[in-house]
Amino acid sequence: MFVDNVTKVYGEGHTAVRALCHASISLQDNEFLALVGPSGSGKTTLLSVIGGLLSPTSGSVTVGDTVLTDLSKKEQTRFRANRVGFVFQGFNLVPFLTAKENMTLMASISDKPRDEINDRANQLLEELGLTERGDNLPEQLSGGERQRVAIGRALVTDPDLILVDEPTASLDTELGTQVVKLLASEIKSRGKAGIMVTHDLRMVEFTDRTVQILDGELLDADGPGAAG
Amino acid sequence: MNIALAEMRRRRGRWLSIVGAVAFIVFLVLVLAALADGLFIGTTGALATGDSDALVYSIDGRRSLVRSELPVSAMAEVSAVPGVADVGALGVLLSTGVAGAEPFDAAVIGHIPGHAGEPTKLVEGRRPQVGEPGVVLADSSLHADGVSLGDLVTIVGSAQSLQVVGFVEESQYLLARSLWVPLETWQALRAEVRPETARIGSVAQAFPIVVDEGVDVATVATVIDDALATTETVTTDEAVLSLPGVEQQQATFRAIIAASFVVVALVIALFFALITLEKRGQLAILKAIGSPNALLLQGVLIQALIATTAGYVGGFVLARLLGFMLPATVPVAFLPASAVSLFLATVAMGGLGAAFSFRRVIQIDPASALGGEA
Repeated sequence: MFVDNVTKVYGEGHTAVRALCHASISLQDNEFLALVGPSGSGKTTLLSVIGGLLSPTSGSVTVGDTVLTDLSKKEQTRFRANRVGFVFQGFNLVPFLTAKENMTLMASISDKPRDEINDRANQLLEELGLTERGDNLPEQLSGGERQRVAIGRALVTDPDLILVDEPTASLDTELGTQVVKLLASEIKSRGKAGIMVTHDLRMVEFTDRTVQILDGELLDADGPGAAG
Repeated sequence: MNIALAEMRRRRGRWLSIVGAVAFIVFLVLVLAALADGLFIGTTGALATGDSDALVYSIDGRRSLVRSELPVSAMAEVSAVPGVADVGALGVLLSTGVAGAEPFDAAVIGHIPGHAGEPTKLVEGRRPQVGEPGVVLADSSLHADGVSLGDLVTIVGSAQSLQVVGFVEESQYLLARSLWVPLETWQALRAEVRPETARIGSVAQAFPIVVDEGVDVATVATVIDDALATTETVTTDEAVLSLPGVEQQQATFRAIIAASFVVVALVIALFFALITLEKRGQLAILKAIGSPNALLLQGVLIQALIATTAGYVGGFVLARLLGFMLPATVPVAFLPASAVSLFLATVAMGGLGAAFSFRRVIQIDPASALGGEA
């Protein structure tokens, strides 16, 4: 995954706000990167651009052989459904779907065959220790179980890129650590590329590399190995 | 797995509230429609049931059976017009009938058995023969009041008794029970009960006609009026709407029903606007993970269609239950055609109401799913 010289400006003229400034970053398969920075530094904006949720004002994002920034909105939506897995802040599961259905709903969204999604959902439920909880609604699950379901949903389509937004924001330290460890393990064991936005510096030890962002500019972003 | 259906299944309470609201409006609409249809049939049945294509009135009768008068001899001229397949005759005498000890509003209708204008919906007994004296074909509403085949009916002001030989349904005239008698009987009764209307020679008040298949009714009507010079020929539908108050009655009910449908659309629109607002975060998440707008809008539409269909079924059951409980004096008619058209209108209004949320759904920014905004 390559982010090349991306700039994102909100508004125009005197009211223009530069959220990202010539940001460039690369990420290999089997690499888990932590993006850290204070509130308002631009980390969520960068994650949104990388995930095809937001179009940059200039610059490009390439995932595998696809230049994401060249795609139409519709193509970007399809790209997200098939090739990006999201883990959102909080749990953000669909409240009226069971744990398993929260994963298999991707069969309605992505182009992957329903049977394949179903098999992967069963496998993930087992791997994540949720086999007995597959038929439970989110309100019947503990915080850690919900986050594990969210991780399962992100992985069920076997995406190329996993984007994680503040996974520990609503968890206590112990549970937060467990979740990030699990995320790192799942991403690495599958050889995926993952980016985690966090302001919790205790979590960066579970990633391969840390990139800091401040006022929209990336620091220490010049390639693999620049671990934080 | 369909997300929209799963939501309805697992959040029944919320959806039952909207289904209940739609059901009550549908109930109101169906009862209004049944009253409108009942009144329409009760008012116009005598003309509508006659299976005629057009009615010939005297020109000074201004499309009114009561005012119109035509010599029976003119039937031959009408019959001679090319395209006319059959001609009948009608005459109406509004009076009071007595069956047993009970008086009732009666419309004694003279007709020519076996010809155009004869009531078609025979439910019991037989039809009178041409010129058969002392017999009557009665509206089935009299049957519900205890009148049976073979009973005698008299008309106030007349000495003769009429024996009921059959019953027809949906044949009332201006909400009076119809008593169908051969034209000659009607002429005699009229002369006896309303001597001031006595005329020289045999008369009728209108000639119902049937045209040959494929022939344009309006064209035939013009030819008849040109040939006779003293007639006004109108289609049966126009004749029905020319009855006093019918058009106004229909327009009033239509307006109330249309207003009720607007309420259906508004209720659905408001409901979906509220739940879209409430589910904003959830929809943003679904969009972020790759749900296209079409899938989400399809879900909204499916939910609206199911809610309105279920609401319609609930309203229909309630309306039918009320129909069974209403006394026979209330003119209600639950017609399948009205039920189907009202169902389609309800579902269409549900879809329209839901469509108001489409723009809100489309405008939800998937990027808002990140940064804890969802």
